[in-house]
Amino acid sequence: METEKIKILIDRFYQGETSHEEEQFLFDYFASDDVASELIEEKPYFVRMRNMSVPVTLRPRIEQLFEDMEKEEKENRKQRKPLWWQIATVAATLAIAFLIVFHAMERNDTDNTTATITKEEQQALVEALELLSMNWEKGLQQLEEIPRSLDQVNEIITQQ
Amino acid sequence: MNAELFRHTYYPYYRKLYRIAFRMLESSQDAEDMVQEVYLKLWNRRNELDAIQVPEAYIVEVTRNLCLNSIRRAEHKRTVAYDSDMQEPESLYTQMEVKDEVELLMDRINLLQDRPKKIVLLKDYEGYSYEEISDMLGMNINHIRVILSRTRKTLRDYFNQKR
Repeated sequence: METEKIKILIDRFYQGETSHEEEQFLFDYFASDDVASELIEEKPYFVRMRNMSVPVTLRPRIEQLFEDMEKEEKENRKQRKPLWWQIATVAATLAIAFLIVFHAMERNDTDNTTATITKEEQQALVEALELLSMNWEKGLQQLEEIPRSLDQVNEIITQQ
Repeated sequence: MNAELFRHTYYPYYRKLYRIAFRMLESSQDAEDMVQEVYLKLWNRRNELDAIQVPEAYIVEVTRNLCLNSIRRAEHKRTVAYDSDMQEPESLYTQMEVKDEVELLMDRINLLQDRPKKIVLLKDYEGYSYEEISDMLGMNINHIRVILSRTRKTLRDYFNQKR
């Protein structure tokens, strides 16, 4: 940059009108060995300023970083469901399994046939339990799966 | 160590880390990147940080080591003959020189009257914007700019006389 333009920048610095990038440019210029002789008396102050000052961009950047860290920690905590939720999920699974078996037994008793669960019903029950246990950490999503599993089982039972 | 404690313990040092990184790397952008890298490194080790007795010394040490690694990588890339034994003492001397220079400037700033001192410290030392300083001090931005202008000239004249 020409000396005249640097002089203009220096004036703006002393008016408090320079941007962070312009100030950094001035600091780096005066730290170099290529300072114009007519500007050399500015050097001592600018060199000290260069070593003392902190850019305005630094604090917001670090603030954002810390906010991201706090967000990350909150997300990790959310994914771990509380114990009561996990117990409730298991209890719901068992209750549904019991209902399926009870329903099958009731039907068989009414029909005066042997009170057994067919292979398909067994399979459906196992699949339902596996589905629920695989997803047991996922809260509401698990509960959404229950009606689907139950529908599948009922469909097989009513087909018999 | 959780996020809240991590922030409480290590966040206050970011300016100090920046100045250390800037003196070693001699680039404002690299120094900013380095400060971020230091905090990320510590965050990834946060489960070990409860055992640290002196957090300030620890984070400063991490910063210096990462800066040295960065300098060595850059030197290696340029394939310039590099004597690792000589580099560090020279950097240490430069750091001490620079530290004295900054202290000189700070000593002079501390002699200023209250309001100009606050403004120049907030703007030039702490890196706050005019808007933030206006909110903190309850002052008009143009008024802040005028005081900063006058103060910078005062400091320049002081250092010109010292030559």
